[in-house]
Amino acid sequence: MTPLLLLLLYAAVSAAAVLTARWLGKAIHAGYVLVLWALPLVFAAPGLLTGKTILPTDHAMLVLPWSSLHSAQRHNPNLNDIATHIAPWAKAVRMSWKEGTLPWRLRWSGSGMALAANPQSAAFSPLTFLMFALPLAHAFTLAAMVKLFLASYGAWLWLTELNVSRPSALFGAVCFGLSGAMTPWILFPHTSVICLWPWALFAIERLGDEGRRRRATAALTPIFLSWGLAGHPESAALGGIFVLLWLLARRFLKDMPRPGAVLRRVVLCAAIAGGLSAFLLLPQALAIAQSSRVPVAREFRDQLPARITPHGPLWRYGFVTAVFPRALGDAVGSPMIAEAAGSFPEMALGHFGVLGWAAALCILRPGSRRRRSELALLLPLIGGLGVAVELWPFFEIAVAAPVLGMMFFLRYLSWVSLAGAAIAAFELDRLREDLREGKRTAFFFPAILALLAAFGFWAYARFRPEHLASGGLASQARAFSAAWICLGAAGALFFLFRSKRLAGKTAVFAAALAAVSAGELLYQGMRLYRFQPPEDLYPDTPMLAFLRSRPGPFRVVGEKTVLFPNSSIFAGLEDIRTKDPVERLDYVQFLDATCGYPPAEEFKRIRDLNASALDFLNVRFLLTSPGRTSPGEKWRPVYSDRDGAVFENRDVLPRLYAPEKITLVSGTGKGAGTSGDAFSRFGAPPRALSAKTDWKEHAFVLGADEVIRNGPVRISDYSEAANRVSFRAQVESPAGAFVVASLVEDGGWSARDERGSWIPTSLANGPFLALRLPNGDHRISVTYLPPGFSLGLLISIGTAVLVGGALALKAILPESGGRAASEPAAPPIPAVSMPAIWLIAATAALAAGLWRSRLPFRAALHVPVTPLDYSNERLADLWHFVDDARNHVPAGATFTVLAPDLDDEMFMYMVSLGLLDRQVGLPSSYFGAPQPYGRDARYVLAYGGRRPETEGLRLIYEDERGAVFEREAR
Amino acid sequence: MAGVLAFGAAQAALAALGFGAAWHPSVRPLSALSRAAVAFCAGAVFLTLEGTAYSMLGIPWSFAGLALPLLLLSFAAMLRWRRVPTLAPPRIGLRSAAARWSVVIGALALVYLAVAFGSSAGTSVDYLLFWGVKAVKYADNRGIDPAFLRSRFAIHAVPEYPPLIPVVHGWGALAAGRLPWRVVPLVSAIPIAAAIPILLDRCRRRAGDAGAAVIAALWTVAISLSVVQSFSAGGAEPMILFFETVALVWLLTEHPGESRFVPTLALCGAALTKVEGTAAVFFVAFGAYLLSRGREGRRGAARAASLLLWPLASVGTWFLYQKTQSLEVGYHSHGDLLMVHADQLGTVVKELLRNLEAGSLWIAWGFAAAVVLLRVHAWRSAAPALTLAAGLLAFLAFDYLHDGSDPTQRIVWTAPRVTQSALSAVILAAGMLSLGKAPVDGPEAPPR
Repeated sequence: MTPLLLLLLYAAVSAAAVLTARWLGKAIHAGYVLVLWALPLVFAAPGLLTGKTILPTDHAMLVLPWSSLHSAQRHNPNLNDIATHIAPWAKAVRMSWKEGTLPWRLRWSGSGMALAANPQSAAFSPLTFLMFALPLAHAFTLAAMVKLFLASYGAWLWLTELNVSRPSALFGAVCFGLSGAMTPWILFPHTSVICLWPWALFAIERLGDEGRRRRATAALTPIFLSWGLAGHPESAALGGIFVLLWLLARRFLKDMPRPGAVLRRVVLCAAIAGGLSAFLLLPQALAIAQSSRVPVAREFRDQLPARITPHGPLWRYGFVTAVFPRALGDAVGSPMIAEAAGSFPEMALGHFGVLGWAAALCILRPGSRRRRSELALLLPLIGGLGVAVELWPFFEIAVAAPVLGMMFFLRYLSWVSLAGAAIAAFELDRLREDLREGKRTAFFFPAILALLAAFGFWAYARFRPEHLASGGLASQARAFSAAWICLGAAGALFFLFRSKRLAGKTAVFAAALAAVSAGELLYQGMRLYRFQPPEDLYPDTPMLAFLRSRPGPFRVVGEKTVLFPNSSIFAGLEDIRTKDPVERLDYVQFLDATCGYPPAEEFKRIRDLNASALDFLNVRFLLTSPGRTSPGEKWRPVYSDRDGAVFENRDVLPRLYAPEKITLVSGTGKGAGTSGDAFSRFGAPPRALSAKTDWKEHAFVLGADEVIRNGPVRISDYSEAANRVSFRAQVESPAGAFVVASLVEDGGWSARDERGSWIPTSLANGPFLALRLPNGDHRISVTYLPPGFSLGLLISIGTAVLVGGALALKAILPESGGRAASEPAAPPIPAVSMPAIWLIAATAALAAGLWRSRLPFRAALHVPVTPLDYSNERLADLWHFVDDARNHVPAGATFTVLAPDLDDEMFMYMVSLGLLDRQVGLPSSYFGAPQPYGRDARYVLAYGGRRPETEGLRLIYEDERGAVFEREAR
Repeated sequence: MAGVLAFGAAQAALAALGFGAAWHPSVRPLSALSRAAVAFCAGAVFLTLEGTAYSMLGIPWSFAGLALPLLLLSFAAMLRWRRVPTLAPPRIGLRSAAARWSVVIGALALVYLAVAFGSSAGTSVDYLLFWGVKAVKYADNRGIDPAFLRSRFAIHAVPEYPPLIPVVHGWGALAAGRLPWRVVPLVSAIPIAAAIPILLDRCRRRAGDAGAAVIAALWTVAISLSVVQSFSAGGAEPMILFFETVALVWLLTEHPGESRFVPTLALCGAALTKVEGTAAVFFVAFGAYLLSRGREGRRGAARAASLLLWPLASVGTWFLYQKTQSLEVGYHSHGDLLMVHADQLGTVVKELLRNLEAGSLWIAWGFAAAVVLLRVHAWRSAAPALTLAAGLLAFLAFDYLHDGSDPTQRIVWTAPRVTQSALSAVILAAGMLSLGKAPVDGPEAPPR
């Protein structure tokens, strides 16, 4: 059933893409669409035919507790992040949506880290929503297929729009769709953006068609919006720069009519998309700014050999890996060798097939005239390659670029794949033309094939000793052989189609080249994935079941790699460790200072398992490999089996508690509530906490300099969901009291009491949440929204209103004469019809309303217990009590109601008149004023249980909300 | 469960009690759903008047005793009106893309409304504190309960509030044996849904099929979101929205001299539902006068006055009941009528604007108000809606200005609910101004 649904969804998305192109005025060429549609099917066939998943479950099966289930061998180490980041976050996003909450907080890792504000979680990506239709394991296969189709079909549309012939465009589409920018990264969110690059370029071309300009604008905006939401801002930025360079180059080459107008419209669409996605982009920007990766990336950038003086390529092997991506190893069949500048997927980004390169290099070939559009593509091609091989000045410009300078420079190779594949298509057209005309210059093509083959021989020979030493030579031989076979096949095809019998059938020649290239790229791409049983995706084990059966809330920590960070999401367990590009620096610094957890390490582990900070962090269980003895006296063994051992922490503190003493620290004077670094706020380094052991008795809280004795607080009914914590607090101190929570406070938490009054929040012990509670008995509700969301949402709404208003004005007002006069050549843009504007307004209102709605998704299945279940929790509880109690008061009897709070008592009295309609209600108070009549009542409904007034009365009913008493008859 | 079903059936049966209205010559050309909605309107109004009259005369309520006279009246009306010839308009066409999308959007909004009301996410606290309590008391008492209304410990139940909601819910409780407290909020989605077919049928006269569809879609979305956001389920707001919307859309799309049977009936309902319903009657009548002044001359003024007459008579029935039962007669103002705290004007305006969010982040209000402002030169063709919206907001501001202390809290509690009628009116006005043509004699000859 699942594979069938997968195929249906893939077909539906593909159909939607084709219809979108049709809507933009592009004729449907069914043959080409089918070919491009079939390529992802071939790519995923091993999974589709066997019901297996593309997800690398082997990585899961290599760590405890899952490694105890069966042995596994890692196939592709480069997919580690899929198993430990992308898949767990996708799971967390699903869990959050399923819970009926927005995926703002990752409660499962790092004592609460950002989820949606971590771009790679792709929490609001359209593709994520599509994936919800399938189980997680199969959803990734669907996503991979969709991305491959969108990339290749988008490229085909763009190239044909640039007047490349359809067969040659097919060649270019295959080269890009299956390129190194796509297949090695197909499970990463990068490709969710990159697959839409050609769609943006296609829509931009349609902007030039005056009849379709409005639709092209309407299409370009959601494409840019998808870039922003798809989960990889770096790729969105790279795509944006590509577009900009391409348009500037075309303007310089005078290839585009009215490039200024097109550029303005592109910028407008980008601005609208940016505005609409601001609700997400702003929290992401703030989360990235506070992450532990920023200093690491900054340090890496500062160490790069960029210099002002001109220089040649500093990493010249980048030319080799662009054509022969496995030449320096691929970590699958051939270990990486020292000459590699990055991992295999990074280096392969610029590879679009050896035949793609052969065709692209034909740009150097004399012959028919080259088109300006093609020449314009040289700018991003050379620019991308120049940055990657560290060539002056490209490399220096990239490194010096604000923000983007911290991006790994090999990422610019993704430009090479797109621009190179497009140039290859242009060149194939030129070659076909020369073939048709019998020009001798066509013979440069086999010469280039031969040169590339020779280049391959050189590369093979050059790195042979290293591969021989590493044991990867056999894999290298296969890789180069595949390339040589393809080059040979292309040469044979060239001579075949130059023969008299097939002369002129150049379309078939182009299609045959596309088939050979597809074969090569599919071979190179498919071998990176070994489809595996979906049931191996973090299955349950006895140890995990044991832990889940323990009453919560609690956190766990694994020794070394046991329950690798993020994998706990599948087990439904909360871990204090992190492995996350946007993990907060201050939290990691806290862990490092108190438990030993060096921020710069890629695979971090807790060094000191006996650290007292683990008590503060609510770590109740330590997970280790089987057979391990207790690491310290506070750890009591509670479970041991072949899937691991579990120790329980004797000294664990609750997640929320009131320390006896509070030291208020004014720090730098910056309050809590924004996303800044916690230790900067305190004005003290993390190491100030290194020696702290009195977590239970004492806490540092950001406030006015003072040491205070904290009032006693009784905390009960603690519950925690994704974005919400609630608890009851009985504070017995007139001045109120502080409670501290081991919840990471990034500025997103806010608290209210039962009346909706704000409770002040602050920072405690570094990056953790502190609340100052008022005196009395309160139900506190603490909610989380990522920092920057409110402002971002305002920008998003403002953008929506502005766009809606502009559309409405355009439809309502007559065309402006002034504008028409200033741009006589511009044809009028057809007005949007008034019903359409109303529809947009209705849709926007509905979307905003659903967004704002307090209604949880589960409400659809909810049968209310009281009429106030989802509207007022407190009053619902009171109503529930009266409703239960009414069955214990006979008809005609008198009754009164009592509650600890007079407002509650009034509410109870009012509703009791309706619920106990056959009895006689006598108020004990009315609008807060005590009334004597209640004392005459036979029955007393006491909310909150026994009270002084009920002393000596006969208890006839009691539940957790209250009790009903009967007075002796007088 | 049987009680729940009986209550639901009794609410639906309001349409049966008023089925005679569906045969009125001005109603017969409408679709079956619209006719049922008009019958629902008539059933609620006549049941309230009948229930009040019974209570005044000391006749105890019973299911049959209330139903039979109304059924007979409806039957007689049907016999009387069914002979008057009318022309059936063409069926509404939902083939255009706009119409289809409108159906989708409207349906989504209604699903949201039903889920929210059914799951208790939009329940009005007033429903639990007094609307429902009154209904239970009236059903138990087999009539409006004067002892309860007189009780010094029932002041919170605002005894002077008009009787329609407790009577209608009490009728359901009478049928069910008990008031199904958890179900009433869901049932109160019925009036919202009932207004939609009338909106569609009437708006097509001026806005065409697609125009009517999009107006109905925006109205459905805006009102569904608003009633949930403002916790209106079980309260009086869904009903008054229904009455006022029906009256407005009828007047905005009427042909010169066309019968005002339905708007009069609907305004009776509004006046019997809430205090501000009576104020709304005046605003709407004034707007109707402005609308028809140009084309009907002096006759327009007379017709506008007649629009006032029946609603005032209806509310007069309630006042008469108060008089006969020695209750305080009339409505109370907040404080001394002429004692206005002008220094609170800034707060009142700011808070009112803030509370026009209506569950859609101001989009519904903002869009409709922007359209009205852009087409304000044609205001007369939407006069009843504009006078209601402006008048109601001014009335509320005036009321809030009577608070000596900071009125913020009262505005926060009440404005999201009581401004909904103005929102409905502004949407209708915007629809007529941007999508509507000037009202002309249509193919269905206006019955006089």
